[in-house]
Amino acid sequence: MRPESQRDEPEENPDLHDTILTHRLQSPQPCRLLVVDDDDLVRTRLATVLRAAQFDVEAAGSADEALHVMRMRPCQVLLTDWQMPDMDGLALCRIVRADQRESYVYVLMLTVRSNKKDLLEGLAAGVDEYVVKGGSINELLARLEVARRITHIEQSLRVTNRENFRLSVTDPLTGTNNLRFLMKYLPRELVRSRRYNHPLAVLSCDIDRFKQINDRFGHEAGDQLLQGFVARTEACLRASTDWLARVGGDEFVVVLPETRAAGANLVANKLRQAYGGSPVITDAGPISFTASVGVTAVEAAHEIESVSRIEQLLRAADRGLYASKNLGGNRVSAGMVASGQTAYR
Amino acid sequence: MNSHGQRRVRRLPAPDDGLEELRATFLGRLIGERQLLANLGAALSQGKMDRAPVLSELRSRAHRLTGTASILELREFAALARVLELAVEGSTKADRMLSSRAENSDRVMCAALQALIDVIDSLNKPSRKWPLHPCMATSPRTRRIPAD
Repeated sequence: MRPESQRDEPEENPDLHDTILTHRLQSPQPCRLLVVDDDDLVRTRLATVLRAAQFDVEAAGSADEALHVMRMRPCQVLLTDWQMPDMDGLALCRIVRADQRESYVYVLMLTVRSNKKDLLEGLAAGVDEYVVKGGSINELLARLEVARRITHIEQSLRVTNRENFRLSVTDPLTGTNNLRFLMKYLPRELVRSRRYNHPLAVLSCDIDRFKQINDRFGHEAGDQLLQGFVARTEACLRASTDWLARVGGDEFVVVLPETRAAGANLVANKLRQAYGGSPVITDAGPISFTASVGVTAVEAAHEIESVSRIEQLLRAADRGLYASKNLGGNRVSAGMVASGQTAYR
Repeated sequence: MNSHGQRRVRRLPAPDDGLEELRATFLGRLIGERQLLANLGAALSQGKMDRAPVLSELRSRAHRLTGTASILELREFAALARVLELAVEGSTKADRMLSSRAENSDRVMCAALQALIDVIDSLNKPSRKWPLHPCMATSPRTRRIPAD
C-alpha cells in the first residue's frame, strides 16, 4: 500500500475544472456522445463529466439499448465498456462498423482490461481509441476532444462532398440538372422500368431559333430566357417523379417515369403551350419564344426489353425533335425506339 | 490582467458534480456485495462443487467493482478489486491446465479476496461516516490489508 500522502491526488479535481473551463472558452463543436456501461453509477459519473465538457450525452445500460438509441438518433462518438452482460462492447463495435451509417461513429473503448492482447483485439474489432479505466479523467476528456475533432472534420468533408456532388450534377445557369445527372440517373430509370415492366417516356426539347434570340437581345437576355424556359417546364412536371436536364445550350431532356406514349404527348403539348403562352420578361424586354419537342416512350414488355442502352431512347427522342424542327418548329413529334421511325403531330 | 498584460483566468470553485453522492451509493452497495463475495469465497474453500462457474462469477464481480471504483476515482479500492480479478483469472487458468501451481494460485486469490472484504468491512464500521473515501477510511495503524 502506498503511504497516506501518496494516495488519490487532491489536485485532480481543480485540474479537471480547469480543463472543463478551457473547453468552454474554446466553444467546441457540438458532438453527440453515447455512453454505454452496464453500471448506472459509471454512466451517471461519465455523463456528468462529459456534459460539463459540452458533449451532448446520451446513456445506455446495454449494447442492445445502445443500438436502439443510435437507430433513433445517430451519435458521433460511442464511449463503451467492454464487459457487459449479453452483448459485450466488442460485439457492439463490430455491429456499428458493419452498419452502413451515413456518418462515421468514433468508438472509444473504456475498460479495465489493460493488456496488449486486449488492446489489439479491441482495435481489430474497429475501436478507434482505447482507454483503461482508472486513468485520469483529463486524459479521457483529451481523447474525447480528439474524437470530437475527427468527427467534426469527417462531417465537414461529408457536407463538402455532398455539395460538390450537387454542383457536379447541376446546371449553374438554370439550376436544373445537367448532362452528367442525365447520364447517371436515366440508366437507373431504364433499369427500374425493365425490372418492373413499367412504361418510361423521354422528351427532347429545343428552343426554336434560340441563336437569333441571342443575337438580337444579347446573351444575358438569352440566359434569362433559358431560366424562364426551365421554370415553365418544371411547373408542368410532376415534382415527385418527373425531371428535367439541360444537355446543351438550349437543349433539354425531360424524363417521365411511369408514363405511356399518350401521356407523354399530353405533357409535351402542355409544355409547348406553356412556352408560347406568354413572353418571358428579361432585362432586354419581354421575349416570346416557342420550342420543338420530340417524344419517345417504351411501354410494351417487348419494347422495354429491346432497349438496352439509354442512347436508344435519347436518339429516338431526338428523331422526333428533328422532325418537329424540319416542319418549322413549335410542334411535337414522336420518335419510335424500335423501328427508328418518326410520327408527326 | 496580470503584469504581463495577459488575461488572468480565475479558477472556478469546484462545482458540486455529484461525485460524493455516487461514491456514497457505491459504498452503500458494497454491504451486499461483501456478503456475495464472502459466499463465493466460502464455496470455493469447501471445494465440493464445480469451481468454474463460481470463479467466473467472482471474476465478473471483481471486474465490475474495479470499473466502478475507477470511474468514481476510488483508486485504491479499484486496485484491490483488480488484483482480485487477476488472481481469479490465474486460478481459472491453473484449473484449466490442471497445473501443479493451482494451490498457490488459490492462496493468492483468497488473500486478494480477504483484503477486499477487509476493506469493505472497515468502511462499514459504525464509527465511519458515509460517504467515506476508502483512503480515508482506514488509518495506517488500523489497516489490515496486505501490502502491495
